[in-house]
Amino acid sequence: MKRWLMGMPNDARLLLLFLMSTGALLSMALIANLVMALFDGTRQIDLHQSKIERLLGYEALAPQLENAALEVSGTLRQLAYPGSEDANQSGAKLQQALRGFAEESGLQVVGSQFLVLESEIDAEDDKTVYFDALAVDLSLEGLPIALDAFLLEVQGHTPKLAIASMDIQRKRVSRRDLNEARGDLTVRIRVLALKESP
Amino acid sequence: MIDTQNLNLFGLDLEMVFRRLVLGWRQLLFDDSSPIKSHFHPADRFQNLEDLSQRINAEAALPGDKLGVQLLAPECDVLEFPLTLPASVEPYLIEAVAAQIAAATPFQAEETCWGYVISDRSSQELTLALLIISRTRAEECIATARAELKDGSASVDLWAKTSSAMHAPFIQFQSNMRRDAYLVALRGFTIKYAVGLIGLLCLLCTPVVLVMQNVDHYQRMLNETESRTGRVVEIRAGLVQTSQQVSDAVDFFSGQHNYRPWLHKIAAWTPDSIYLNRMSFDGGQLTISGLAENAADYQSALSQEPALSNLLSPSAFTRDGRSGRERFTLTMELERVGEL
Repeated sequence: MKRWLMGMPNDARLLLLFLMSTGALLSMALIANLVMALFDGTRQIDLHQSKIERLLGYEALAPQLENAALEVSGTLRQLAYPGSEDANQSGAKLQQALRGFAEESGLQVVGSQFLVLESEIDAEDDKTVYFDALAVDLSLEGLPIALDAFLLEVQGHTPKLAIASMDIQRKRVSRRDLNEARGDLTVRIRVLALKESP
Repeated sequence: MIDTQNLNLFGLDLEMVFRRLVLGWRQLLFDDSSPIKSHFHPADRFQNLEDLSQRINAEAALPGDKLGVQLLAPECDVLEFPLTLPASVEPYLIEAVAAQIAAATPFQAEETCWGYVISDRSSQELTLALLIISRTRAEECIATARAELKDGSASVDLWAKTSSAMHAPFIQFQSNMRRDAYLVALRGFTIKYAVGLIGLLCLLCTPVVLVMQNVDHYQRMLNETESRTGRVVEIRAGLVQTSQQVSDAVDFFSGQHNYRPWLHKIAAWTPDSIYLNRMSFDGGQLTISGLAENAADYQSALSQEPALSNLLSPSAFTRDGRSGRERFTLTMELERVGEL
Protein backbone atom coordinates (compact mmCIF):
# COMPACT_ATOMS: atom_id res chain seq x y z
CA MET A 1 0.00 0.00 0.00
CA LYS A 2 2.78 2.37 0.98
CA ARG A 3 4.78 1.62 -2.19
CA TRP A 4 1.64 1.96 -4.27
CA LEU A 5 0.96 5.35 -2.65
CA MET A 6 4.55 6.56 -2.86
CA GLY A 7 4.73 5.64 -6.57
CA MET A 8 2.01 8.16 -7.40
CA PRO A 9 2.72 11.79 -8.37
CA ASN A 10 2.79 14.20 -5.46
CA ASP A 11 -0.47 16.05 -6.15
CA ALA A 12 -2.37 12.84 -6.81
CA ARG A 13 -1.03 11.36 -3.57
CA LEU A 14 -2.07 14.43 -1.56
CA LEU A 15 -5.54 14.46 -3.12
CA LEU A 16 -5.96 10.74 -2.49
CA LEU A 17 -4.84 11.12 1.13
CA PHE A 18 -7.26 14.01 1.58
CA LEU A 19 -10.13 12.01 0.07
CA MET A 20 -9.28 8.94 2.14
CA SER A 21 -9.03 10.98 5.36
CA THR A 22 -12.33 12.72 4.65
CA GLY A 23 -13.97 9.38 3.93
CA ALA A 24 -12.54 7.88 7.11
CA LEU A 25 -13.70 10.84 9.19
CA LEU A 26 -17.19 10.73 7.71
CA SER A 27 -17.38 6.98 8.30
CA MET A 28 -16.25 7.38 11.90
CA ALA A 29 -18.74 10.19 12.46
CA LEU A 30 -21.51 8.07 10.95
CA ILE A 31 -20.61 5.04 13.06
CA ALA A 32 -20.31 7.18 16.19
CA ASN A 33 -23.75 8.65 15.50
CA LEU A 34 -25.25 5.22 14.99
CA VAL A 35 -23.70 3.93 18.21
CA MET A 36 -24.90 7.01 20.09
CA ALA A 37 -28.41 6.58 18.70
CA LEU A 38 -28.31 2.93 19.73
CA PHE A 39 -27.23 3.75 23.29
CA ASP A 40 -29.65 6.64 23.56
CA GLY A 41 -32.53 4.48 22.35
CA THR A 42 -31.62 1.70 24.78
CA ARG A 43 -31.42 4.20 27.65
CA GLN A 44 -34.81 5.65 26.71
CA ILE A 45 -36.32 2.18 26.65
CA ASP A 46 -34.92 1.52 30.14
CA LEU A 47 -36.29 4.84 31.41
CA HIS A 48 -39.71 4.23 29.90
CA GLN A 49 -39.81 0.68 31.22
CA SER A 50 -38.97 1.74 34.77
CA LYS A 51 -41.47 4.61 34.62
CA ILE A 52 -44.22 2.33 33.34
CA GLU A 53 -43.46 -0.19 36.10
CA ARG A 54 -43.56 2.57 38.72
CA LEU A 55 -46.90 3.84 37.42
CA LEU A 56 -48.33 0.33 37.41
CA GLY A 57 -47.13 0.02 41.01
CA TYR A 58 -48.99 3.19 41.94
CA GLU A 59 -52.07 1.88 40.17
CA ALA A 60 -51.93 -1.37 42.13
CA LEU A 61 -51.57 0.54 45.41
CA ALA A 62 -54.22 3.17 44.65
CA PRO A 63 -56.52 2.30 47.62
CA GLN A 64 -53.61 2.35 50.09
CA LEU A 65 -52.36 5.65 48.67
CA GLU A 66 -55.81 7.19 49.03
CA ASN A 67 -56.07 6.04 52.66
CA ALA A 68 -52.58 7.32 53.45
CA ALA A 69 -53.37 10.67 51.80
CA LEU A 70 -56.52 11.02 53.92
CA GLU A 71 -54.63 10.09 57.08
CA VAL A 72 -51.78 12.55 56.44
CA SER A 73 -54.28 15.29 55.57
CA GLY A 74 -55.96 14.65 58.91
CA THR A 75 -52.62 14.98 60.68
CA LEU A 76 -51.95 18.22 58.85
CA ARG A 77 -55.37 19.60 59.92
CA GLN A 78 -54.23 19.08 63.52
CA LEU A 79 -51.12 21.14 62.91
CA ALA A 80 -52.20 24.00 60.65
CA TYR A 81 -55.14 26.01 59.42
CA PRO A 82 -56.15 25.02 55.87
CA GLY A 83 -54.79 27.00 52.95
CA SER A 84 -58.26 27.35 51.47
CA GLU A 85 -59.11 29.92 54.14
CA ASP A 86 -58.03 33.52 53.96
CA ALA A 87 -55.23 34.35 56.43
CA ASN A 88 -57.27 37.14 58.00
CA GLN A 89 -60.23 34.81 58.41
CA SER A 90 -58.05 32.18 60.13
CA GLY A 91 -56.39 34.85 62.26
CA ALA A 92 -59.74 36.24 63.38
CA LYS A 93 -60.88 32.74 64.25
CA LEU A 94 -57.69 32.16 66.27
CA GLN A 95 -57.98 35.49 68.04
CA GLN A 96 -61.58 34.74 68.93
CA ALA A 97 -60.65 31.29 70.27
CA LEU A 98 -57.80 32.70 72.41
CA ARG A 99 -59.99 35.43 73.87
CA GLY A 100 -62.55 32.76 74.63
CA PHE A 101 -59.92 30.64 76.41
CA ALA A 102 -58.76 33.62 78.41
CA GLU A 103 -62.25 34.50 79.56
CA GLU A 104 -63.13 30.90 80.38
CA SER A 105 -59.93 30.65 82.42
CA GLY A 106 -60.72 33.77 84.39
CA LEU A 107 -58.29 36.15 82.73
CA GLN A 108 -59.31 39.59 81.69
CA VAL A 109 -58.39 40.46 78.11
CA VAL A 110 -56.92 43.96 78.08
CA GLY A 111 -55.87 43.97 74.45
CA SER A 112 -55.23 41.72 71.46
CA GLN A 113 -53.80 42.03 67.98
CA PHE A 114 -53.54 39.64 65.06
CA LEU A 115 -50.51 39.58 62.73
CA VAL A 116 -49.37 37.48 59.78
CA LEU A 117 -45.66 36.71 60.17
CA GLU A 118 -44.48 35.21 56.89
CA SER A 119 -40.84 35.41 57.92
CA GLU A 120 -41.47 33.31 61.01
CA ILE A 121 -41.05 30.17 58.92
CA ASP A 122 -37.47 30.38 57.74
CA ALA A 123 -37.07 28.35 54.61
CA GLU A 124 -33.78 26.88 53.54
CA ASP A 125 -32.31 28.29 50.34
CA ASP A 126 -34.37 26.43 47.76
CA LYS A 127 -36.96 24.76 49.95
CA THR A 128 -40.62 25.40 49.25
CA VAL A 129 -42.35 27.42 51.97
CA TYR A 130 -45.59 25.66 52.76
CA PHE A 131 -46.85 27.82 55.66
CA ASP A 132 -47.59 31.31 56.85
CA ALA A 133 -47.34 31.96 60.57
CA LEU A 134 -50.33 33.60 62.25
CA ALA A 135 -49.53 35.48 65.45
CA VAL A 136 -51.87 36.87 68.08
CA ASP A 137 -50.50 39.22 70.73
CA LEU A 138 -52.60 39.22 73.88
CA SER A 139 -52.49 41.44 76.96
CA LEU A 140 -54.15 39.69 79.86
CA GLU A 141 -54.69 40.28 83.54
CA GLY A 142 -55.55 37.77 86.18
CA LEU A 143 -54.41 35.30 88.78
CA PRO A 144 -51.60 32.80 88.19
CA ILE A 145 -54.03 29.89 88.39
CA ALA A 146 -56.10 31.45 85.60
CA LEU A 147 -52.95 31.84 83.51
CA ASP A 148 -52.17 28.16 84.08
CA ALA A 149 -55.67 27.21 82.94
CA PHE A 150 -55.31 29.43 79.87
CA LEU A 151 -52.00 27.83 78.95
CA LEU A 152 -53.59 24.40 79.33
CA GLU A 153 -56.37 25.39 76.94
CA VAL A 154 -53.83 26.72 74.43
CA GLN A 155 -51.90 23.48 74.70
CA GLY A 156 -55.01 21.46 73.81
CA HIS A 157 -56.13 23.58 70.86
CA THR A 158 -56.48 22.15 67.42
CA PRO A 159 -54.75 23.12 65.16
CA LYS A 160 -51.71 23.14 67.37
CA LEU A 161 -50.52 26.46 68.84
CA ALA A 162 -47.15 27.56 70.13
CA ILE A 163 -46.26 30.36 72.53
CA ALA A 164 -43.41 32.36 71.08
CA SER A 165 -42.94 34.70 74.03
CA MET A 166 -44.55 35.42 77.38
CA ASP A 167 -43.89 38.33 79.69
CA ILE A 168 -45.40 38.11 83.18
CA GLN A 169 -45.35 41.03 85.58
CA ARG A 170 -46.89 41.68 88.90
CA LYS A 171 -49.77 44.04 88.30
CA ARG A 172 -49.14 47.61 89.51
CA VAL A 173 -51.94 48.64 91.84
CA SER A 174 -52.82 51.76 93.72
CA ARG A 175 -52.87 51.71 97.51
CA ARG A 176 -56.67 51.86 97.41
CA ASP A 177 -56.94 48.60 95.39
CA LEU A 178 -54.11 46.86 97.24
CA ASN A 179 -56.26 44.30 99.01
CA GLU A 180 -58.53 43.53 96.03
CA ALA A 181 -55.76 42.97 93.48
CA ARG A 182 -53.32 40.98 95.59
CA GLY A 183 -51.53 38.39 93.38
CA ASP A 184 -52.88 39.68 90.05
CA LEU A 185 -50.54 39.44 87.04
CA THR A 186 -50.21 41.35 83.84
CA VAL A 187 -49.32 38.97 81.00
CA ARG A 188 -48.22 39.80 77.49
CA ILE A 189 -48.18 36.73 75.36
CA ARG A 190 -47.59 35.96 71.71
CA VAL A 191 -49.31 32.85 70.38
CA LEU A 192 -48.33 31.36 67.01
CA ALA A 193 -50.29 29.13 64.65
CA LEU A 194 -49.48 27.81 61.19
CA LYS A 195 -51.60 28.23 58.11
CA GLU A 196 -50.95 26.48 54.83
CA SER A 197 -49.80 28.84 52.11
CA PRO A 198 -52.50 29.26 49.49
CA MET B 1 -14.07 26.12 -18.31
CA ILE B 2 -14.00 27.58 -14.85
CA ASP B 3 -12.51 31.02 -14.62
CA THR B 4 -10.02 30.84 -11.76
CA GLN B 5 -8.57 34.30 -12.17
CA ASN B 6 -10.65 35.79 -9.37
CA LEU B 7 -10.66 32.86 -6.94
CA ASN B 8 -9.66 34.13 -3.52
CA LEU B 9 -10.50 33.63 0.14
CA PHE B 10 -10.11 36.64 2.48
CA GLY B 11 -7.60 38.08 -0.01
CA LEU B 12 -5.73 34.76 -0.35
CA ASP B 13 -5.28 33.73 -4.02
CA LEU B 14 -6.83 30.32 -4.51
CA GLU B 15 -6.00 29.90 -8.18
CA MET B 16 -2.92 27.79 -7.49
CA VAL B 17 -4.82 25.65 -4.99
CA PHE B 18 -7.53 25.06 -7.55
CA ARG B 19 -5.02 24.22 -10.30
CA ARG B 20 -3.17 21.78 -8.02
CA LEU B 21 -6.48 20.17 -7.13
CA VAL B 22 -7.31 19.73 -10.82
CA LEU B 23 -3.78 18.46 -11.49
CA GLY B 24 -4.04 15.96 -8.64
CA TRP B 25 -7.36 14.73 -9.99
CA ARG B 26 -5.91 14.32 -13.52
CA GLN B 27 -2.85 12.54 -12.18
CA LEU B 28 -5.01 10.25 -10.08
CA LEU B 29 -7.18 9.24 -13.04
CA PHE B 30 -5.06 9.70 -16.19
CA ASP B 31 -1.36 9.56 -15.28
CA ASP B 32 0.43 6.46 -16.54
CA SER B 33 1.70 5.75 -13.02
CA SER B 34 -1.83 5.77 -11.57
CA PRO B 35 -2.90 2.34 -10.34
CA ILE B 36 -6.52 3.29 -11.05
CA LYS B 37 -5.73 3.86 -14.72
CA SER B 38 -3.65 0.71 -14.99
CA HIS B 39 -6.56 -1.28 -13.54
CA PHE B 40 -9.50 0.18 -15.43
CA HIS B 41 -8.12 1.67 -18.66
CA PRO B 42 -8.40 -0.50 -21.80
CA ALA B 43 -5.00 -1.97 -22.71
CA ASP B 44 -3.03 0.01 -25.31
CA ARG B 45 -2.44 -1.82 -28.61
CA PHE B 46 -0.07 0.29 -30.69
CA GLN B 47 0.37 -0.69 -34.33
CA ASN B 48 2.39 0.72 -37.13
CA LEU B 49 1.28 0.67 -40.74
CA GLU B 50 3.12 -2.60 -41.55
CA ASP B 51 1.49 -4.47 -38.64
CA LEU B 52 -1.87 -3.18 -39.81
CA SER B 53 -1.53 -4.53 -43.35
CA GLN B 54 -0.33 -7.92 -42.00
CA ARG B 55 -3.36 -8.15 -39.70
CA ILE B 56 -5.74 -7.24 -42.52
CA ASN B 57 -4.17 -9.86 -44.73
CA ALA B 58 -4.60 -12.43 -41.98
CA GLU B 59 -8.19 -11.18 -41.44
CA ALA B 60 -7.69 -11.49 -37.70
CA ALA B 61 -9.59 -8.98 -35.68
CA LEU B 62 -7.89 -8.04 -32.43
CA PRO B 63 -9.71 -7.42 -29.17
CA GLY B 64 -10.18 -3.70 -28.59
CA ASP B 65 -10.53 -2.88 -32.28
CA LYS B 66 -13.96 -1.49 -31.70
CA LEU B 67 -12.23 1.25 -29.67
CA GLY B 68 -10.32 2.31 -32.75
CA VAL B 69 -6.74 1.82 -33.85
CA GLN B 70 -3.73 3.28 -32.00
CA LEU B 71 -1.50 3.98 -34.95
CA LEU B 72 2.20 4.73 -34.45
CA ALA B 73 3.53 7.38 -36.80
CA PRO B 74 6.71 6.42 -38.70
CA GLU B 75 9.74 7.49 -36.65
CA CYS B 76 11.28 9.21 -39.67
CA ASP B 77 8.35 11.65 -39.84
CA VAL B 78 8.46 12.60 -36.16
CA LEU B 79 10.67 15.28 -34.73
CA GLU B 80 11.54 14.63 -31.05
CA PHE B 81 13.38 16.79 -28.55
CA PRO B 82 13.61 16.73 -24.76
CA LEU B 83 12.46 19.46 -22.38
CA THR B 84 13.20 19.89 -18.68
CA LEU B 85 10.92 22.09 -16.58
CA PRO B 86 10.65 22.88 -12.85
CA ALA B 87 8.11 20.65 -11.13
CA SER B 88 6.10 23.72 -10.04
CA VAL B 89 5.18 24.35 -13.70
CA GLU B 90 3.14 21.14 -13.93
CA PRO B 91 -0.25 22.84 -13.29
CA TYR B 92 0.47 24.96 -16.39
CA LEU B 93 2.10 22.16 -18.37
CA ILE B 94 -0.08 22.32 -21.49
CA GLU B 95 0.52 26.05 -21.83
CA ALA B 96 4.27 25.63 -21.26
CA VAL B 97 4.55 22.78 -23.78
CA ALA B 98 2.48 24.69 -26.36
CA ALA B 99 4.74 27.70 -26.02
CA GLN B 100 7.84 25.52 -26.38
CA ILE B 101 6.40 23.79 -29.45
CA ALA B 102 5.52 27.14 -31.04
CA ALA B 103 9.11 28.25 -30.55
CA ALA B 104 10.73 25.02 -31.77
CA THR B 105 8.51 23.85 -34.65
CA PRO B 106 9.96 23.99 -38.18
CA PHE B 107 6.40 24.05 -39.62
CA GLN B 108 3.79 26.76 -39.87
CA ALA B 109 1.58 26.98 -36.81
CA GLU B 110 -1.49 25.48 -38.56
CA GLU B 111 0.72 22.71 -40.02
CA THR B 112 2.16 21.71 -36.64
CA CYS B 113 0.76 18.75 -34.78
CA TRP B 114 2.35 17.84 -31.49
CA GLY B 115 2.32 15.57 -28.50
CA TYR B 116 4.33 15.02 -25.34
CA VAL B 117 5.02 12.50 -22.65
CA ILE B 118 6.51 12.93 -19.18
CA SER B 119 9.53 10.67 -19.27
CA ASP B 120 10.72 11.38 -15.74
CA ARG B 121 9.27 13.14 -12.72
CA SER B 122 11.14 14.12 -9.57
CA SER B 123 10.25 16.48 -6.75
CA GLN B 124 12.36 19.21 -8.38
CA GLU B 125 11.84 18.87 -12.12
CA LEU B 126 9.97 17.26 -14.95
CA THR B 127 11.61 15.73 -17.99
CA LEU B 128 9.46 15.61 -21.09
CA ALA B 129 9.80 14.31 -24.59
CA LEU B 130 8.17 16.67 -27.10
CA LEU B 131 7.07 15.29 -30.49
CA ILE B 132 6.18 17.21 -33.63
CA ILE B 133 4.77 15.97 -36.91
CA SER B 134 3.47 17.89 -39.90
CA ARG B 135 -0.29 17.85 -40.25
CA THR B 136 -0.04 16.73 -43.92
CA ARG B 137 2.07 13.72 -43.01
CA ALA B 138 -0.12 12.81 -40.10
CA GLU B 139 -3.28 12.92 -42.21
CA GLU B 140 -1.57 10.79 -44.87
CA CYS B 141 -0.74 8.15 -42.26
CA ILE B 142 -4.33 8.11 -41.02
CA ALA B 143 -5.69 7.95 -44.60
CA THR B 144 -3.35 5.03 -45.36
CA ALA B 145 -4.49 3.23 -42.24
CA ARG B 146 -8.15 3.72 -43.13
CA ALA B 147 -7.41 2.43 -46.64
CA GLU B 148 -5.75 -0.63 -45.16
CA LEU B 149 -8.76 -1.14 -42.89
CA LYS B 150 -11.11 -0.59 -45.83
CA ASP B 151 -13.15 1.70 -43.64
CA GLY B 152 -13.13 5.39 -44.48
CA SER B 153 -14.70 6.39 -41.16
CA ALA B 154 -12.64 4.09 -38.89
CA SER B 155 -11.40 5.71 -35.68
CA VAL B 156 -7.63 6.08 -35.81
CA ASP B 157 -5.64 7.70 -32.98
CA LEU B 158 -2.14 8.84 -33.92
CA TRP B 159 0.73 8.16 -31.47
CA ALA B 160 4.49 8.22 -31.64
CA LYS B 161 7.15 6.15 -29.96
CA THR B 162 9.89 8.14 -28.24
CA SER B 163 13.59 7.31 -28.10
CA SER B 164 13.05 6.12 -24.52
CA ALA B 165 10.44 3.61 -25.79
CA MET B 166 7.50 5.52 -24.34
CA HIS B 167 4.33 6.34 -26.27
CA ALA B 168 3.02 9.87 -26.72
CA PRO B 169 -0.35 10.83 -28.29
CA PHE B 170 -0.63 13.62 -30.83
CA ILE B 171 -3.30 15.69 -29.18
CA GLN B 172 -4.86 16.84 -32.46
CA PHE B 173 -5.56 13.22 -33.50
CA GLN B 174 -7.23 11.59 -30.49
CA SER B 175 -10.81 10.33 -30.71
CA ASN B 176 -11.45 9.91 -26.92
CA MET B 177 -13.09 6.49 -27.46
CA ARG B 178 -10.61 4.72 -25.17
CA ARG B 179 -10.87 7.48 -22.61
CA ASP B 180 -14.68 7.21 -22.68
CA ALA B 181 -14.47 3.43 -22.26
CA TYR B 182 -12.16 3.97 -19.27
CA LEU B 183 -14.57 6.46 -17.69
CA VAL B 184 -17.49 4.08 -18.25
CA ALA B 185 -15.57 1.28 -16.51
CA LEU B 186 -14.67 3.64 -13.68
CA ARG B 187 -18.27 4.81 -13.35
CA GLY B 188 -19.47 1.20 -13.25
CA PHE B 189 -17.02 0.39 -10.47
CA THR B 190 -18.00 3.54 -8.54
CA ILE B 191 -21.69 2.68 -8.78
CA LYS B 192 -21.03 -0.88 -7.59
CA TYR B 193 -18.92 0.45 -4.73
CA ALA B 194 -21.58 3.00 -3.77
CA VAL B 195 -24.32 0.37 -3.84
CA GLY B 196 -22.15 -1.85 -1.62
CA LEU B 197 -21.62 1.04 0.80
CA ILE B 198 -25.33 1.82 0.89
CA GLY B 199 -26.02 -1.86 1.61
CA LEU B 200 -23.50 -1.82 4.44
CA LEU B 201 -25.02 1.37 5.77
CA CYS B 202 -28.48 -0.21 5.73
CA LEU B 203 -27.08 -3.19 7.58
CA LEU B 204 -25.53 -0.91 10.21
CA CYS B 205 -28.72 1.10 10.53
CA THR B 206 -30.96 -1.92 11.04
CA PRO B 207 -30.37 -2.32 14.81
CA VAL B 208 -30.80 1.43 15.31
CA VAL B 209 -34.09 1.39 13.42
CA LEU B 210 -35.29 -1.58 15.48
CA VAL B 211 -34.33 0.16 18.72
CA MET B 212 -36.09 3.36 17.61
CA GLN B 213 -39.24 1.37 16.82
CA ASN B 214 -39.00 -0.11 20.31
CA VAL B 215 -38.60 3.37 21.80
CA ASP B 216 -41.71 4.48 19.95
CA HIS B 217 -43.61 1.45 21.20
CA TYR B 218 -42.61 2.11 24.81
CA GLN B 219 -43.41 5.81 24.43
CA ARG B 220 -46.94 4.96 23.36
CA MET B 221 -47.25 2.50 26.24
CA LEU B 222 -46.02 5.16 28.65
CA ASN B 223 -48.49 7.74 27.34
CA GLU B 224 -51.31 5.26 27.71
CA THR B 225 -50.26 4.31 31.25
CA GLU B 226 -49.82 7.97 32.22
CA SER B 227 -53.31 8.86 31.04
CA ARG B 228 -54.77 5.88 32.93
CA THR B 229 -52.89 6.50 36.18
CA GLY B 230 -53.14 10.29 36.19
CA ARG B 231 -55.43 10.41 39.23
CA VAL B 232 -53.30 8.03 41.30
CA VAL B 233 -50.17 9.98 40.45
CA GLU B 234 -51.94 13.14 41.55
CA ILE B 235 -52.95 11.50 44.85
CA ARG B 236 -49.38 10.33 45.40
CA ALA B 237 -47.94 13.77 44.64
CA GLY B 238 -50.44 15.25 47.10
CA LEU B 239 -49.42 12.67 49.69
CA VAL B 240 -45.73 13.51 49.24
CA GLN B 241 -46.41 17.22 49.57
CA THR B 242 -48.68 16.81 52.58
CA SER B 243 -46.10 14.57 54.26
CA GLN B 244 -43.50 17.25 53.70
CA GLN B 245 -45.86 19.85 55.15
CA VAL B 246 -46.49 17.69 58.21
CA SER B 247 -42.76 17.20 58.63
CA ASP B 248 -42.14 20.96 58.38
CA ALA B 249 -44.94 21.74 60.82
CA VAL B 250 -43.64 19.16 63.31
CA ASP B 251 -40.16 20.69 62.96
CA PHE B 252 -41.60 24.13 63.60
CA PHE B 253 -43.49 23.12 66.74
CA SER B 254 -40.64 21.03 68.06
CA GLY B 255 -38.53 24.22 67.95
CA GLN B 256 -41.01 25.99 70.28
CA HIS B 257 -41.06 25.71 74.08
CA ASN B 258 -44.05 24.77 76.15
CA TYR B 259 -43.86 27.37 78.93
CA ARG B 260 -46.54 25.97 81.22
CA PRO B 261 -44.38 23.23 82.84
CA TRP B 262 -41.53 25.75 83.11
CA LEU B 263 -43.78 28.07 85.13
CA HIS B 264 -44.46 25.22 87.54
CA LYS B 265 -40.80 24.34 87.80
CA ILE B 266 -39.67 27.91 88.41
CA ALA B 267 -42.31 28.19 91.13
CA ALA B 268 -41.05 24.95 92.69
CA TRP B 269 -37.39 26.05 92.58
CA THR B 270 -38.13 29.46 94.09
CA PRO B 271 -38.27 29.64 97.92
CA ASP B 272 -41.15 31.48 99.57
CA SER B 273 -38.78 34.19 100.74
CA ILE B 274 -38.24 35.37 97.17
CA TYR B 275 -40.64 37.74 95.45
CA LEU B 276 -40.64 37.61 91.66
CA ASN B 277 -41.68 40.85 90.01
CA ARG B 278 -41.22 39.83 86.44
CA MET B 279 -40.73 36.68 84.42
CA SER B 280 -40.11 36.91 80.69
CA PHE B 281 -39.88 33.97 78.29
CA ASP B 282 -38.57 34.65 74.82
CA GLY B 283 -37.82 31.58 72.74
CA GLY B 284 -35.49 29.47 74.86
CA GLN B 285 -34.44 32.33 77.12
CA LEU B 286 -35.90 33.21 80.50
CA THR B 287 -35.35 36.46 82.36
CA ILE B 288 -36.57 36.77 85.92
CA SER B 289 -36.32 39.72 88.28
CA GLY B 290 -37.46 40.25 91.83
CA LEU B 291 -36.41 40.70 95.47
CA ALA B 292 -34.54 38.20 97.63
CA GLU B 293 -32.95 38.22 101.07
CA ASN B 294 -29.87 36.76 99.44
CA ALA B 295 -29.98 36.84 95.65
CA ALA B 296 -26.63 35.06 95.33
CA ASP B 297 -28.06 32.05 97.19
CA TYR B 298 -30.98 32.00 94.82
CA GLN B 299 -28.67 32.21 91.79
CA SER B 300 -26.58 29.42 93.23
CA ALA B 301 -29.68 27.26 93.80
CA LEU B 302 -30.87 27.80 90.22
CA SER B 303 -27.44 27.06 88.80
CA GLN B 304 -27.68 23.58 90.32
CA GLU B 305 -30.68 22.77 88.13
CA PRO B 306 -29.65 20.72 85.06
CA ALA B 307 -32.63 22.05 83.10
CA LEU B 308 -31.14 25.55 83.15
CA SER B 309 -27.92 26.77 81.59
CA ASN B 310 -25.99 29.98 81.01
CA LEU B 311 -27.34 31.45 84.21
CA LEU B 312 -26.17 35.05 84.28
CA SER B 313 -26.82 38.17 86.19
CA PRO B 314 -26.75 41.06 83.73
CA SER B 315 -26.70 43.68 86.53
CA ALA B 316 -25.37 43.83 90.07
CA PHE B 317 -27.59 42.85 92.98
CA THR B 318 -28.60 46.00 94.86
CA ARG B 319 -30.28 46.27 98.21
CA ASP B 320 -33.68 47.88 98.15
CA GLY B 321 -33.83 50.49 100.91
CA ARG B 322 -37.54 50.19 101.50
CA SER B 323 -37.92 46.39 101.67
CA GLY B 324 -34.38 45.67 102.88
CA ARG B 325 -34.02 42.91 100.26
CA GLU B 326 -31.68 42.52 97.30
CA ARG B 327 -33.04 43.45 93.91
CA PHE B 328 -31.88 40.99 91.26
CA THR B 329 -32.25 40.14 87.56
CA LEU B 330 -31.20 36.75 86.24
CA THR B 331 -31.12 35.39 82.68
CA MET B 332 -30.87 31.73 81.75
CA GLU B 333 -31.33 29.30 78.86
CA LEU B 334 -34.05 26.67 79.06
CA GLU B 335 -32.76 23.19 78.24
CA ARG B 336 -35.11 20.75 76.59
CA VAL B 337 -35.28 17.95 79.16
CA GLY B 338 -38.35 16.37 77.57
CA GLU B 339 -39.97 19.76 78.30
CA LEU B 340 -39.82 18.58 81.94
